[in-house]
Amino acid sequence: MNKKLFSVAAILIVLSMVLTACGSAAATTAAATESTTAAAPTTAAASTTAAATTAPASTTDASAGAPVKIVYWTFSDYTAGAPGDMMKEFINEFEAQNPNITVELVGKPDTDIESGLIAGASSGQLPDLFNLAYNAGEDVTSLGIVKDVSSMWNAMPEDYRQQFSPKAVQGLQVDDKMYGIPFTAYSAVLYRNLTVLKAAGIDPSAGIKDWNDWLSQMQKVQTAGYKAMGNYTGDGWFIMIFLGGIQGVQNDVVDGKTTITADQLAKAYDFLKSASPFCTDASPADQATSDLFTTNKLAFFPSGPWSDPTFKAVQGLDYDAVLIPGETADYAGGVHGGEFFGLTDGPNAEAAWKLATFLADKEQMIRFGAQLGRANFNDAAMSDASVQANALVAVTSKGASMGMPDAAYFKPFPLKVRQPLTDYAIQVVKGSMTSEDAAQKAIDTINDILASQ
Amino acid sequence: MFRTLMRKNLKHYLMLVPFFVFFVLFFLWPILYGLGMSLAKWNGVQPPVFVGFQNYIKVIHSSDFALGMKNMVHFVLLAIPLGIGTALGLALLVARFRGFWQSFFRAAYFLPFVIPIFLSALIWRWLLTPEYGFINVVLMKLGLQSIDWISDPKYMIYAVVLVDLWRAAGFNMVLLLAGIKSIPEDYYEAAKVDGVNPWQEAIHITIPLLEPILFVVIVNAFISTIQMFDVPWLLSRSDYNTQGGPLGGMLFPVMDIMGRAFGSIKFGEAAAYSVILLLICLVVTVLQFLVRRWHAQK
Repeated sequence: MNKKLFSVAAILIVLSMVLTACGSAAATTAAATESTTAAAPTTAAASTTAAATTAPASTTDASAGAPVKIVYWTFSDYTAGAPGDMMKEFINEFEAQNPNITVELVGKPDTDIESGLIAGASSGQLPDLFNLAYNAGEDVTSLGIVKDVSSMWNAMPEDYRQQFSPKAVQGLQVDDKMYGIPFTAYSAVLYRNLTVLKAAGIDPSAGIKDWNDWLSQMQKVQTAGYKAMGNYTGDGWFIMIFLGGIQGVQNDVVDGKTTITADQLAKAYDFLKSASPFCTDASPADQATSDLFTTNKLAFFPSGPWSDPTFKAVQGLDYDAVLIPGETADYAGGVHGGEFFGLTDGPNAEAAWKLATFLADKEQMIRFGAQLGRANFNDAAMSDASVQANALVAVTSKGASMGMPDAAYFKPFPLKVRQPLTDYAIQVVKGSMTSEDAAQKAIDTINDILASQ
Repeated sequence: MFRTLMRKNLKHYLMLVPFFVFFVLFFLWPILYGLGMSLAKWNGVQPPVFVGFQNYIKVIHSSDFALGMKNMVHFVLLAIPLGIGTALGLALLVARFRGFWQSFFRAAYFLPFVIPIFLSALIWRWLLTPEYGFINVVLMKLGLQSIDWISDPKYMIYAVVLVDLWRAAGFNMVLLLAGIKSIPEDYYEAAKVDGVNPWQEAIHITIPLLEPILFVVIVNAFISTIQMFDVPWLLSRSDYNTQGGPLGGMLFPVMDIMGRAFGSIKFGEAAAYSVILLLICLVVTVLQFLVRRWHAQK
């Protein structure tokens, strides 16, 4: 028995020694790889700087250096379909110019990118480069996992830096730091079913002057036997589409309080209540609502540029996209936002920066805007004739200059503040609260949420 | 004594080691870690700061906690009797079939349980759409009004009950059917001789003899309804920032925990809420065992 015990113990000891030896060998290999990889950015950095002085984002002399693999998280819709094909094309071009760099493109829903960064902050499993909405910027920068790229940005040539929207660049600059490069932008637009409008006796070319004009068109649509719009009270983002139509509305935080006033919100609630008799109860998020639009039974569909591919795919659908009407004739509404490239502070940061500067550069953004109809923060690309020829981009870029941003960027501003907007909108539309009382309660709740931060 | 015991059973203990290693690593350690986390303010990156029971106080005093608990109790009171009643009814019905048809109905009722939940939620959102969804079209044909199941806080909880019933009834039915099939035929034959009808058979033979399985089904139903998450999350199109739809009509405790952890990045509060939910599950389960024991002794 003792002999057996001894043999078992001996085997266990030998096994543990072998495993320990393997472990340290692996650790040494890993350390060696890490040091090799760590060396690469220096080379990449040097070449980036050298390249930057001559030609912005040019990567022709970046082939030198040890192999680097960049993990890049982007939104799922940029890795599938036409945007996915374009993104892969960009990456192939980048890899051809930088033979030592390979890119692992990972598509994730926006909330998964944010939660992945939060979870990765403690586990260390972070991407080298990621895309994130401006409105989620503070959540991840407050964790200290986003690299301050101000020195890299300042090292870029002047004409490279000048091509971006100054507002979008400023949005990423907080307390002498810079948290990335501006990327894509969006603005809510109003899709109009021209077949329905004509059947209701409305001349689409006359446009929609203001909210009153819009309501009278809705009434005509209903009289002709159609529905005007979906139910826009079920989501805070939907409410912001209309709130953005009030001139002077600001979605910001000053002294820990929202800059949206109860009066402004009450106006948006009143508009939604006035529109409700002409609308279907189905939410725009329901398949039924977009089906109604594509089958010529619904006149208006306020949404973002992401709805366009669905409508475009429907043969014979006669529609256009215009600015969201504002409360008054001299203003257009809507809500707008955007996305940026962020870097984590890892050993591949220099190579990741190289990829980000390449993707955000004018040449790529022109193709992105012109072929996909998606706006971006590269002003030089947006003013290109081929991009402006795309009607949707032209409308979204104009919409982004009006309306209101979808959040206060890079400030403590939880998106949970959207919840009270919808909670009280429903009560106004159902008639259980006056718009003034509901708006005041919503603003108070928003301020409570902000105070809890 | 200890040495003799060890000498005699060492190899058996060694065989148990892998299980205990995994049990401690993946079960015990996370629970203890969560308990520790619930006493700290932690954003996942910076070192946690010990705050005592502050997280528990914050969670209990928040309006979302009261709303989540109210929805949960409402849901438990509706979903458990309805769910188990339906499962039992289906099991009794399917048990009356033999051969192919029994297998067919068993598979058909079990099918919703194996359909991926996101797909089920999508189908149900479509069925429940106001005015145009199948259910509302039927209601309107019957002369009733269309109901906004997904956005009207008055009806949102019933939508969750409906989807949960559709999903879980088949699973519970399979368990109960297995129990029914294990009841010896002799009882039914003797009952037939005494002229018992199918209803009396169910009440006086099947249900009493099914008690051990019914108990397991009830305990499991309580735990899963208290932890309800996926159905309301998907139906209300929740995300880490906003959960439960308008007026929190579908806000459940686990959804609130997700929001606190990944929306507000307050892992301490999320852990405290999880501990509270764990205690609720524990108390409810222990109570059920006590009631069963008391009933058996009576």
